[in-house]
Amino acid sequence: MARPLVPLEIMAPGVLGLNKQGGDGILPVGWATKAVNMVFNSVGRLASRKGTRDRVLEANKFSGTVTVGHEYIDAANTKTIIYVDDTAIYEESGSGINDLTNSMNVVPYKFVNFNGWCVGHHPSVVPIVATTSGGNFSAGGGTQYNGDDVLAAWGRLWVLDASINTLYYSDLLINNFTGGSSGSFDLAKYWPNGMDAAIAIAEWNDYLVVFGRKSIIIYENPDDPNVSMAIADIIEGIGCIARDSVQQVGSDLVFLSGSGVKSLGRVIREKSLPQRDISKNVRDYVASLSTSTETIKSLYSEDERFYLLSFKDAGVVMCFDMAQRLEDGSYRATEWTMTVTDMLVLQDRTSVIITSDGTNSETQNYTGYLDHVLYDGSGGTTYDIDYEGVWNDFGQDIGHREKILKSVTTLIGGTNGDTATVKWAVDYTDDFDTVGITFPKINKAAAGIKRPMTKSGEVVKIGLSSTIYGTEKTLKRFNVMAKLGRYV
Amino acid sequence: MAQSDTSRGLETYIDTGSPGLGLLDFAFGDDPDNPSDINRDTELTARGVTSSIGEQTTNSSQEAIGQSNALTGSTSLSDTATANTGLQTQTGTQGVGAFTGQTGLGGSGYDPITGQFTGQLAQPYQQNVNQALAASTQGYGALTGQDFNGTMGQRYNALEALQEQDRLQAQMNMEDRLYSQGRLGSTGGALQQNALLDAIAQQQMGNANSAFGQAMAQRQQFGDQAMQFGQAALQPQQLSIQQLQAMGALAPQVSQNQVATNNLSEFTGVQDTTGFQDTSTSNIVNASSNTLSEQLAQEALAKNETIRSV
Repeated sequence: MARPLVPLEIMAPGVLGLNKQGGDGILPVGWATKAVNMVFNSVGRLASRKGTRDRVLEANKFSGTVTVGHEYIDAANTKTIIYVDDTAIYEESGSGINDLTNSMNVVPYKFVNFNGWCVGHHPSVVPIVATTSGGNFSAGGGTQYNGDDVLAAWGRLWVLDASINTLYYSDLLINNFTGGSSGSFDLAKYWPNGMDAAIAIAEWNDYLVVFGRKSIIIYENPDDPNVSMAIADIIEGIGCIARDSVQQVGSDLVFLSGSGVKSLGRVIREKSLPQRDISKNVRDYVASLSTSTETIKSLYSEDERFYLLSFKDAGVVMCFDMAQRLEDGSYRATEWTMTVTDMLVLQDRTSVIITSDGTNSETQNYTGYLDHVLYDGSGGTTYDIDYEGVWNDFGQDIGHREKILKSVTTLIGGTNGDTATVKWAVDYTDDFDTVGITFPKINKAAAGIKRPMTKSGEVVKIGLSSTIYGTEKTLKRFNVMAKLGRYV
Repeated sequence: MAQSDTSRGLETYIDTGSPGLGLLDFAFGDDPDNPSDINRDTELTARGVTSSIGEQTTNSSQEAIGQSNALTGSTSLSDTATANTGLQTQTGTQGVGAFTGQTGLGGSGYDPITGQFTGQLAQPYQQNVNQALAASTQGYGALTGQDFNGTMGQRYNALEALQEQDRLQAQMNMEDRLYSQGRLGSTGGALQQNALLDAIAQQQMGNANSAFGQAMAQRQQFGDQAMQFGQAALQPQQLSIQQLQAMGALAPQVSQNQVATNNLSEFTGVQDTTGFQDTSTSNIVNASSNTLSEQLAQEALAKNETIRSV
């Protein structure tokens, strides 16, 4: 008597995002253990990320590494992007770039727009300022403070000097740090647990947030720093380890802490939920990527609904889908393989990603489904997506029985002629067997493709890899058929 | 008998007049009926107080006019030049001797030759004067010896000591408040702290002003006390001077009256007490008494001449 086939149906593979904290345990099938170059599309399915397209001509590529990109909007609402590479400060102009260095020091400044000017601060050099779009940079007048971070808010410049744990604020609407209503706050007196190192400052719901490495100080009434600005809250045990990881995401403030990506909730006064663990399911993995915090950059795109956190040295970008929060308070995560040196979102909501291959740098829009598309839309390179699910035992009733894999039916959104590789492994060993599939010649149709499988084991992991060459691919369903074997 | 009445009338006048004039009792002696007694007292006193010229004058007068000259000399107590001149003119060489007065306040004297008044306070008064002068001197000494800056500094330090704890508490409260607000070490916090320090500085300035005022008041107090003691010391002398002045004003009247009375009693036996009837109109009485005395003196001289001629 033939034994019946049992199905293992994985609906919406990886819909819960990456889970690298579960180890080899049995997890719900919605989790993914690998989701490379993928995002969650508008309907919440795991899909391939978009590609990139150059913003300037090939001939105008930057030499060396562009470490800074900043959109400067002057008083006339003229917009331009400022770049800093190894040798100069540039302004993007049409398909080219103009050198605005003007003998200023070339360092990875932190730029902010302030009262029609573009102000750049760096811990080791004199601040610079450009007063109009297209104008050269010059040294800031009046009294200036080198800063590890700078913020333009409430009509003032706020400069964080981590070396002396001091927060300076400028005179009202003037980038001068003496006279008028300028002043400073001594942070060293207020770090909990004795002392901390200031990392970043940010505006958040009309609060001024000062991130230390292991703690956070939140000031209220920063619009009147000389009279009523005061500490509203101090959060111990959690801080920020990378200045450029701080992003405003709606009403939350997202940042990278030593234990992963966190967000400050809105209920700061109640202190019931002062922060949320965004990267709860990839915490250790993210921590392992945070080797050089100076090169960590971030971006939040309202259009794409993701928060990107790049780790240049690891060549990885972590992508957190901020559209929907999971029940455990975390956000769905994926990872990209991309060497990003900086990221920014323009006022027109375009996401700009600056990448470097170590020799040249490119500034690119996040668009299309090919990487490195040239300025005129030609060319481009493909990139791969890679998905792996979790270990499945086919349910509690048959969990301890051997499954003899017979076939897999894959339902993928894509374009006709696209190819993909379905892969599987058994019993906690990442030794995958694979089978290739080619999408049928139907235009952007979901295709149910059935392929035979090999191997048998108590637990099974299903995956898929594919090359993206111009169109989006979406994972929709895996249906594995297996025969039950002996008890193990 | 007439002399006795005259003397009693004078005594009555004196008693109802200025109390200071009671010293004239001493000048005229205890018994007005005994001219020798008056002379004796006068001579005794004059020896002690005035020069001997008075005695010589008196002796000359005695030689010239006999027994009554002694009375004339003894009653020439006036310190006014006109009175003396009048008397001397009338009595020829018989001069007006120096005289002294004695009261419970002390003794006073007048020397018509030198025109000097002399006075000696009684011992208790002199002690009081000495004590007052000593206190005054001490007061002025304290005033001049007072360390004004030191006093002001002491007052200032005392005020500061009273307020220092409150200030420290206020500063600590402010630090606590600023720290709880996260504003300690901030510019805004420093502004608040500076405002407090300004307030403290103003308070200190107020304390300095207050200390200055207190030191000044103390200085004024020392000065006033010294002045009061000084005035107290001078008061008996003022009284003495007033006595002397009174004596000087009264002396010629008394002298003339005595001369006249003596003459009358000796040569006519008629007593005229017109000048002593109304003490409230002493000046008028004195004036009429002077006129009467001059008339009587002239009559007496005429009688003397008659006697001599006889």
